[in-house]
Amino acid sequence: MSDVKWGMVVDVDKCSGCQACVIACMAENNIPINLDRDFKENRSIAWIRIERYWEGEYPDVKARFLPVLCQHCGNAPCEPVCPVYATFHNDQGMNIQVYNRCVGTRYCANNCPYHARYFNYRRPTWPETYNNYLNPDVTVRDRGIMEKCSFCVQRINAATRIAKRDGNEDAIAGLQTACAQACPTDALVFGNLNNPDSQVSQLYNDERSYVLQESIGTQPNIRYLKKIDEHAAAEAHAH
Amino acid sequence: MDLTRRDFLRVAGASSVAGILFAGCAIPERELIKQSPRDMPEDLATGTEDWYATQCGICNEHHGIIVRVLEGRAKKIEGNPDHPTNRGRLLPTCLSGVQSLYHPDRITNPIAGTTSLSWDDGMQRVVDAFNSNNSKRTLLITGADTTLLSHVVDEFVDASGIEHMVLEDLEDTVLRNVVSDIFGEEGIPHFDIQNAKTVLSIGADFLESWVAPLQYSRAYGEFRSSESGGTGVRGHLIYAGPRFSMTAANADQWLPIAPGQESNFALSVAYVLIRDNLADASVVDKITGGRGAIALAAFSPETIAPLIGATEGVISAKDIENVAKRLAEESPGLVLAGGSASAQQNGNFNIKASLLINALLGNIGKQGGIQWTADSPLRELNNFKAPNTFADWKSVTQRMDQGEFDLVLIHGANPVHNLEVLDFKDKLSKVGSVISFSPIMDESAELANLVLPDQNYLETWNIGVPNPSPGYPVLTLQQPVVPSLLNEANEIVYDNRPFGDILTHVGRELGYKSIAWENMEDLVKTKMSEVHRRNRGRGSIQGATFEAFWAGVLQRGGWWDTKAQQANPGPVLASLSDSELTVQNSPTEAEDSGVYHLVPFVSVGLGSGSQSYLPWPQSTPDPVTSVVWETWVEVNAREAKRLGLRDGDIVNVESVTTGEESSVIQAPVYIHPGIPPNVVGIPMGRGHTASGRYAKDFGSNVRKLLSISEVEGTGAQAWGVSKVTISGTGQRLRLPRMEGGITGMQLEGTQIIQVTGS
Repeated sequence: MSDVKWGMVVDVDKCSGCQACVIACMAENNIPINLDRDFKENRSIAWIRIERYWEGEYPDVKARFLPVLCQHCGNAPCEPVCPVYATFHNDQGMNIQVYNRCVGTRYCANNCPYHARYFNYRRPTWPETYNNYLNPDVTVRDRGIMEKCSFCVQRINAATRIAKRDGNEDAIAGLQTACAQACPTDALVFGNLNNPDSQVSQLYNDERSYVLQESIGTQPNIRYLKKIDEHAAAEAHAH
Repeated sequence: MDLTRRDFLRVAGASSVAGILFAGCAIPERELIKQSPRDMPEDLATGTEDWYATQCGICNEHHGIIVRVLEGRAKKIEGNPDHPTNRGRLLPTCLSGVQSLYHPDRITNPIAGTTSLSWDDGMQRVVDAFNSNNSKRTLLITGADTTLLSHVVDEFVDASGIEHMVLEDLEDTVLRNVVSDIFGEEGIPHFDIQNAKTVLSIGADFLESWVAPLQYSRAYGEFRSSESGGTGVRGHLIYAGPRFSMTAANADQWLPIAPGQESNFALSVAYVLIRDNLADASVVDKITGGRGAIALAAFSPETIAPLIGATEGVISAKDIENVAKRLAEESPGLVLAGGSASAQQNGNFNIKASLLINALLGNIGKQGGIQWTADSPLRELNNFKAPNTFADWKSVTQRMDQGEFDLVLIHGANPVHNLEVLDFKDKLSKVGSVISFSPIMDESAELANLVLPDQNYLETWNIGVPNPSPGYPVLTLQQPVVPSLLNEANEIVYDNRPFGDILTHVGRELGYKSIAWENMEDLVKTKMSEVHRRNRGRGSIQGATFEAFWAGVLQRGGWWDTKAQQANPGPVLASLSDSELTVQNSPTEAEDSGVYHLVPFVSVGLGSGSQSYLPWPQSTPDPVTSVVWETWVEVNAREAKRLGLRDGDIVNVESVTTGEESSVIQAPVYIHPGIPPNVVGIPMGRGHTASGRYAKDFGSNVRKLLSISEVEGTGAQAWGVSKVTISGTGQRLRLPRMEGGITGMQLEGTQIIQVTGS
């Protein structure tokens, strides 16, 4: 049994929708450049995206932002449908995609209720000079492979190894995913849920916390903190 | 059962057998967790990683970044956690710096027309151009910049006697004017959002474009936090303005105010504060000439509310009363103003009336209010040349047209794109000789006879001052984090030189005595040694010797003194004249008149246009509409239905601002549930005809449609008064959107985003 369980809390009330997490993730994880054609064909790839939900219309209108990434489910619908065991969850709270097992059936993406899985319909290409900034710790996925948020597994592995080598747990305690690290408003908090003192585990049990589409029973390791809106709450009360 | 990887693959291949087999045994952990190349050394040998601290050169905030460097390549940009203005955080554009460094369309060497030149030849041509042209007929255009490079430019301009103009991407002339008028301070102060409990933003889209969005986004996170930092209470944000922007979407309350009505709204709020004795009495006396609430009686909420709504009946007197009371009671209350509020004919007064509320609330110089920025420890980094106004640009383009300039040099600005409304391209083509220092063949560089490409910020030296500076001195150091990129034949791929070094070289060749340094590196070191000498024992780095200090500055990415004394605020200098205390009623467009107020805006990921040559900013979804790679026209959903427009219908948007020449752009419609029916919003930043493969021919340039009238008394462009008509072209396209073809709506019953009252 591992003493680490990685998890994340997304504070919907703080998310301004700025997209810093989206680009930070692309830079960290060698995500291909999404051209306009990729968006038009719904084939763009973004391991984390900011969804915007409209409520009402002018003048009583709201637009709320929701960062959505792989929820790292404890009971993941993507897993049982993979014929080659390319996706599974480990006892550290992570749902893992093994690229060299994936044969591209796309069953997992079909079954993911969060649309958090992305398929490489094309061989990713970019100008040769852009090879220079690729992260050597992360595989570039080829055509026909499914990919998704890995909780920056390369950072977790590196930190674990450093902690083991130096006999110092600080490397693990200070670990952040690329998205949480960039977020200007601290809307994303990543950390060890098994450590009761960590910020993430305290927020995880906050009274505002909820699970995305809880009724499906996916048991995610990501929780959201409810949006605070005194006007909406007052209206709901009035009804 | 012990299962090896090879066994696993073989067994997994035997489908049905595998199902039964795996139901009965767990897969060993070590078989499953191994996937990172870090753990596959036989495939990949990575070098040692180094992190260097430097400053962001993509946005104009001059905050700190750290760059991961492996084998001489910049791999990733992250925020510098030590730096006081961004504390490790970044916006999407800042993260895209590596794409500017390795841009496939970066100009590789000096060029004249189609001929490649050596640097010696290129520099000699600049020297010759200065020798053969009259300095009075020479113009240098630079972008707005608060770094040591500005000092080099100033020295060069002084020594050579040439004319110098500064082009600001988004003009803040009005804000600077008002701050100077009301408070007698130069530059933009620090708005302490983090420590405020109530923020009223009048047109200021501070989370995406207004002044310093990264600084303000970080402050916004603290402002919304009830657990840490800030006030310990979740702050309340109110947004008043004609367009439902990203900042408006984040606000607790959006008040759709018609363009031009901002001052009426602000004075009505001020009236309530004074009437209910919620305002600082001495400020009330000063601004009303001792008359008190009676002076503002014409602005009672009952009178003003019916006038100011973007459409009829959307603002009530109670709304105004509540805003005023909240600002005073949930204090500190802070008022920000800008954006389209400053770009109206009465923009100066809109901002003045709005910022005066801060004085009434007594928050000047206080936490959660407006604070004055401290002087920089370097004299050269205190008084930057203020960017030129739109009126200045109008006059200079006329002079170009009349043949008053023989030589124009352009660095860090793209006036041909930004000033398309003034036909800058046509005017620039009448200048005998144009020299550009752009690293990308942008619209302005295309007209140049000589292009000497400026080196990337990740390869050069500089010192920056955050803009606006917090209440204490901060210097951000910029150092080369990577050597020049070499190809397989060991030749430099991008043979560029820093603009500062080019100016220094040319200046010295021309015999300017005031240019006493060798190059930017030399100048940066000299200036940092001054900082060390004057501030021994103070600030973030304290070294007994300069060498120790210098090493510390290189490691930490700069020097700052967070304990420095805050500058004291002066008294409020402005008062409201009788004419200002008369309700000005500028008529809004009727809902079905067919004429719309145009509100141009900046999307957070793309920026105002200078970053559109990078693929990440182009592919970053606009937060509100999720559109990418395209310019869109936001049309109210009901209005679109009335006009028979659907998402993706391409429309002609024609400017019909009274008394001005008309122009047209084409762009697809985005059906917007939130924008008022008499307003259309169009983002800036696209519509490039050059600037590399990722910018050219994507979208249209809304700047073409903007009014060329001026904000009264300032010379700033009154782009907020622009009016347009829209008409279908019969063509349509599939709008490239992150959310695809279906617009995300909250559904009754299944609330994806759950909401609570506290």
